[in-house]
Amino acid sequence: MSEHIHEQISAFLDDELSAEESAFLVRRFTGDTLAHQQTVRYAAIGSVLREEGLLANSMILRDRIHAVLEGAHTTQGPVRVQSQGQMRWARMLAAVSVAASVAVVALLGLRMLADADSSAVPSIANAPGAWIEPGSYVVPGDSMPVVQVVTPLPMRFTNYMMQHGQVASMLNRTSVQSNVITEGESELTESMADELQVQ
Amino acid sequence: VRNGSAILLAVVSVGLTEAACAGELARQWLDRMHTALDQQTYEGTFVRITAGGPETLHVAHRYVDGALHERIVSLNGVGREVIRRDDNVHVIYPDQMVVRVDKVVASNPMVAALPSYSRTLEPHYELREFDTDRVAGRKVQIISISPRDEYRYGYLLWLDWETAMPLRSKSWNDLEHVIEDIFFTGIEYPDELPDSAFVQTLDTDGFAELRSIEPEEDELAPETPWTIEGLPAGFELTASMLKTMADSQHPVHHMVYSDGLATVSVFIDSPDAETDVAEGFYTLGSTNTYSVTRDGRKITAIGEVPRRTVEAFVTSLRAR
Repeated sequence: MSEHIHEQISAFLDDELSAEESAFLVRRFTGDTLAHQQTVRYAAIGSVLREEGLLANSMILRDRIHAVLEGAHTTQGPVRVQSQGQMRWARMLAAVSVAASVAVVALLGLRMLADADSSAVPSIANAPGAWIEPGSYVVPGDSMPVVQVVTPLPMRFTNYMMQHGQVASMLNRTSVQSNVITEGESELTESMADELQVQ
Repeated sequence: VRNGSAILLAVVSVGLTEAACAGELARQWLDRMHTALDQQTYEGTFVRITAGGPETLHVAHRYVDGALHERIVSLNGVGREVIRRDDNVHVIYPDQMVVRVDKVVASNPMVAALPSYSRTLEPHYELREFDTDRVAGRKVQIISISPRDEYRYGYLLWLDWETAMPLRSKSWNDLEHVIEDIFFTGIEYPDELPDSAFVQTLDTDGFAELRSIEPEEDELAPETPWTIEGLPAGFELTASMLKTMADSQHPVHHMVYSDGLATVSVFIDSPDAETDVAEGFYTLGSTNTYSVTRDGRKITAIGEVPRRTVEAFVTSLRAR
């Protein structure tokens, strides 16, 4: 993939791409899987850098695509309330001519990429008794309901964590060793909590 | 950093020649980081934020004559400590009045077997170099490691401009959530640290001591009776060993898989072992575990990877 497309993707996510270029890029998404994936990855990185929740950025990405759709089909309303900047961007795109089928495919393709995990593993936000930390620190979701428990870890888990800490990559080793001495609350599936309470 | 995409744009707008080198520069930074993490002498305080909440820790780290010494102390609560010195790792739990002592295998064959970062990462992660920033009062270079599939985490690293030490690390999971943010609030790089920096400060008189049994030489790399078919792409078996844990006389088979950055440990208990490991998923910081019982054995996978990955390892395990 050329650096030009990298630049276009960055500008697209920053809402700085012209309407024509945006339309071209969205068309390109339909046949360029690498560009698809690159866009999703850049959206994620940009969101982490901006201290935002990543899901919010996925929404922005989808809105960008929706805005292109809007340019082609003004009868379709926006999927969610857009910011002033996004509305401006959408208006700017009103004159853009994008083949609807191409744009829809692009949108669905991106959505599939962005939603790949949340479709397979429902977000914890939808789980019974969901527990969500403030800001972007969200407990990884899982299909199993979770409960909040307090450490200490079970002895065997501590053993495993210690042993794993010896082989974890240098980057993750501090994190793993911190796990061993953490006093914070950790997350346990309900079935595990039941077993531990029995013990 | 105010605008991440602007940084991306800055990176990609520096010209084709320079930009083409971006991945290579990131690779060089990661190589430097790998060396720094092990061999750099440093002492500092860092904050770790996970779903469990924030925690402040102090770390001292030195590498002397081929030996790693490290002490990490939680500055919250009762102040648990983990001290690694020479071949021993001590973990002190004041609240439980327990000291765990584990033996670090000299010239650990598992660690030695782990590939370095840069050689095998590219098919599974995209490396990029971004702008500079400041963390803990020091200039840093921002590097991203973005996974190309849903079986591993992504990382943003803020690497010390001078030492390549990661002064901040943010990881995000396959559900597009930031799951861990570790950042130094202050760090120093003294030429050397005194022995006193690696001595426990807690009085452990009367504490119970739990020791694991050091594996015999022939247990360090036994021929594994297990195999995992259909691993997530890029993960390869890098080591296996038998280990007798501190809470049991029955050895546990430990298999280590790595994709060059993420590591997954698979533990297979003896059918005779009694264990307090319950079935299901467990999440602690960026570490996920998954356990099941199969043919009377408890099988557990642990790794800094998404749940789907540890689950894939456990469900794909087969006897040879």
